[in-house]
Amino acid sequence: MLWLANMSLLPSMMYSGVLLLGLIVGLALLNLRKRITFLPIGSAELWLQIHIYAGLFSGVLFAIHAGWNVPSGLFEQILALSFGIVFLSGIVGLAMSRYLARQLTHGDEVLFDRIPARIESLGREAESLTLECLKETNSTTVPQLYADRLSSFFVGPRNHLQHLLLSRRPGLELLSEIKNYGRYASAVERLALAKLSEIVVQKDRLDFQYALQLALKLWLLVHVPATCCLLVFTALHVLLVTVFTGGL
Amino acid sequence: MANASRQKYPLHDPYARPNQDWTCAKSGCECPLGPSRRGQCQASAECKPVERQNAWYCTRAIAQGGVCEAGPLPDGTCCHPIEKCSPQKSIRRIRMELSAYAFAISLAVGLLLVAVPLDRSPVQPGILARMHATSPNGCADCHDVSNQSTLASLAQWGSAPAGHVQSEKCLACHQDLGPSALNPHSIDTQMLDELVLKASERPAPTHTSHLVSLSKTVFGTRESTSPIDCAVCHKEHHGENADLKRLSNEQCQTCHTGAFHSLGFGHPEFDSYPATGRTRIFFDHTSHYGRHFAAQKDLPTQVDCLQCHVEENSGSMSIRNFEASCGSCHDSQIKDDFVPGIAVLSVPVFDTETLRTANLDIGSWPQLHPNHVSATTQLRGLSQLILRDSLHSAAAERIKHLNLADLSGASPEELEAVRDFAWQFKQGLYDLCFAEMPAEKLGLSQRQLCDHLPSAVLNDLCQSWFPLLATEVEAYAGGERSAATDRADTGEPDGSSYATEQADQPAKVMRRGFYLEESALTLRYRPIGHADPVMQAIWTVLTGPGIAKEFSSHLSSFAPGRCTKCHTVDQHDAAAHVNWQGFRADALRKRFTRFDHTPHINMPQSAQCVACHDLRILSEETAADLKASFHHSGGLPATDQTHFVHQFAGIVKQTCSNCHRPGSAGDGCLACHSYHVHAPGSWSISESRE
Repeated sequence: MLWLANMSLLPSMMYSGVLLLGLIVGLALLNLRKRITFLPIGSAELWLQIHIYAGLFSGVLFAIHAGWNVPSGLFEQILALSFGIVFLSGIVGLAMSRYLARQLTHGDEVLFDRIPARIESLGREAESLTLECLKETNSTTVPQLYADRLSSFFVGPRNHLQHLLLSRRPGLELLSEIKNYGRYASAVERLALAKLSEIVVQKDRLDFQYALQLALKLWLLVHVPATCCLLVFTALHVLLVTVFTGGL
Repeated sequence: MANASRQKYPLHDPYARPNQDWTCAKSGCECPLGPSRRGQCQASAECKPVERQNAWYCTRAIAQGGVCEAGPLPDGTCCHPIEKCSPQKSIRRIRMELSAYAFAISLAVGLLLVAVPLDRSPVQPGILARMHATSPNGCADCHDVSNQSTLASLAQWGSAPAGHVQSEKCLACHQDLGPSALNPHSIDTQMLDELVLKASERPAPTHTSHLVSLSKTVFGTRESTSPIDCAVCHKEHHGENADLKRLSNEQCQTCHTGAFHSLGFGHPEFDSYPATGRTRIFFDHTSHYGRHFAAQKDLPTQVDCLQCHVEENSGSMSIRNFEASCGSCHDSQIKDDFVPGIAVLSVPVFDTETLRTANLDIGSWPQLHPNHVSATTQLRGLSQLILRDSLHSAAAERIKHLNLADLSGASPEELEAVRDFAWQFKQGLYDLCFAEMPAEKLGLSQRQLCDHLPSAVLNDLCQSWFPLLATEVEAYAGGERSAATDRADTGEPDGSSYATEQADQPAKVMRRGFYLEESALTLRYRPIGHADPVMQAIWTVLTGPGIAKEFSSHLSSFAPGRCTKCHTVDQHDAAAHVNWQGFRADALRKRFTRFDHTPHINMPQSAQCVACHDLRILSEETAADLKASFHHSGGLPATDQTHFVHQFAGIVKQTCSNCHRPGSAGDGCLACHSYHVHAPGSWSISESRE
């Protein structure tokens, strides 16, 4: 339609700009919708779906509005950059919310805010297990392992990037290392090592949950502030266009 | 603390408050109250003891463990104080703060950008095209904005008058687009209406443009005569090498009623292109190559276009100058000594005797020898034009029917009118010879004519025929009798006998240029050669508005100079115009269609010319029509330029579309057609048939 308008020597850029402006404002209203829960204006889920599809369409519309070219003016470049950040962060967020969220349903689900406490609890459990083993066997094998590898592992959530990439390598490496220690351990020590392995597995799952949930929260720290920038620059752009197009 | 959970990691956590801005720092051991809205820890103790009957009781909630065994302290404080924590910002609050900072920073950056003066403004949406990049006033040259800054522009926004403000700014520099610049094709509304009418009468294209049809269906048809702002087609700020004139074929046709598919499919067939009217120079190719050149030994008999035509730098073909192309045969005709020169200034012969008898003083007047009767007895020739403003219409009108050489039958009033006329003639001659003619009295053509009258010739004329002119006119103006009258009374000879003595002698040597024909008391001019400026000035006067038909004989192709033998005369309303130039590049620029020969011919050869320009073999009747379109019987020029016969067969569309198609030479509208065609009066409907 815009292409036909351009063919008819109509101000197609004005039309696409108005449409794009409406889209951007509409997309930004999702945040407001989530805060206003008492009005019968459709469910948040419906709004989210509209937000997603409208956001995808806005990318195409932006490219049409810009004439499929990279803007060359400084302000226009900043505007395009802000839009690009919003758009790409939205794409990334959409992908993560579709894929990572599904990964979170595998295994135990835990509240994000509870994960550090749970990790701390597991850490204390592993520490007490180690001390108990030392008391029983007088052997430094297990304490040595704890000191070398496990104490830092239980400090807090670890291996964010690997978990985001759905890699189990860090956890498996640690388990393999524990298993190797068992070759030279006594029966009591092997029992302790087995329990430590279980704790490591639990902690690794918590790390996985934490990494994915953190990612699902953090992408909005890019998307939403960038949207604020975009709204400001869009308003300025509309004002400038109106002033410089006056009398046409 | 929390009761034993039903699963390892309880999902239904009573503490979880994701909508709050602050979270308790003791993860897993959060107090029930949580941080305040300002992020302050509200924890104090596990309960708030109440006093009943002088005793303090624990009020810890069952969910927190119920009443404790120790109970409150004697002073009423809880025995289980909770250590305060340092609440942390939730991710929600962090996001909110980041958004606020982003908003503030972007607002500051935006305001900073708009505060920069416009000539260095970063708000420019794109680089200007090279030809606009050096505009002296920056943005204000094209936009209705202040040249100080964008902020100042915002302040004055809305104060501009309605209308095509920006287009008017474009036209402030582009002043060559005529008075109807914003009209489609920059032509006036009346012409537009005529074109629209002609277009509506044209049959529909055989192949229509579906895209244009679709766009018209969706958006309607643009009004054919409504103004179009410059920026509708010309898009700036697309880089220094951007083509500001780029338009698609569909965009060109969006205003046209008959939108066709392409040059090869649907474009109207060419109608006698490139001929759009009678040529400015009459040149019969067939007769020249078939008859005239054959009579000359050194001229070719086969058509050789480049003998006369030469390619200009602009890509158009012009005609070589007269000397190179036509002079070898026609120069002698122009300088033909057997044709008397054109009468520029003729002195009427007066019956001075009758006037003297009636005691009417006209001063000295040249007398003609009785044997020479070719002198005029009326004011004829160009004299009327040269002296027009000196001659009052009342006197001239009154004596129009009189024979000035014999006034014996004239009434006293008529004789007085003759006297007045004679003195007016002398005054005019005096102004011409001795005083500069007031510019406001002369029309342009008159001024041009008078400018070509050399003072030496005028002096010669005055000395020959009016030796006392200055004295007499000045005396007459002062109310004195002329000295000539006094001498007549006393019998003394006056200067008027000079002409009589000279009349016995033949006209001065047949020469070119100005010469005095004393046998007729006439100043004549014989052209000295082609492009004689005096002849041009004379012809410009003769073809000007308000010129009586009695001068038409001077326009004959047999008149001195033989100008109209080749140069056509076009009639425009009340005035005629002589086409002195055979080729006018500016006229070509104002046509809808343009053609650049340069890319079409690599080495100019006649064989390449005839590929498109096919000289027709005309029948006798057509040849006669051709001649009649240039000259009437008697050699007078035909002034109706709309009536013409083509000597060359028109170029057919296929000749062009064979190469001009997509993937080859391209078939864009703008490759051949111009949009801005606006020279008023330089073209007519016949030129618009493209």
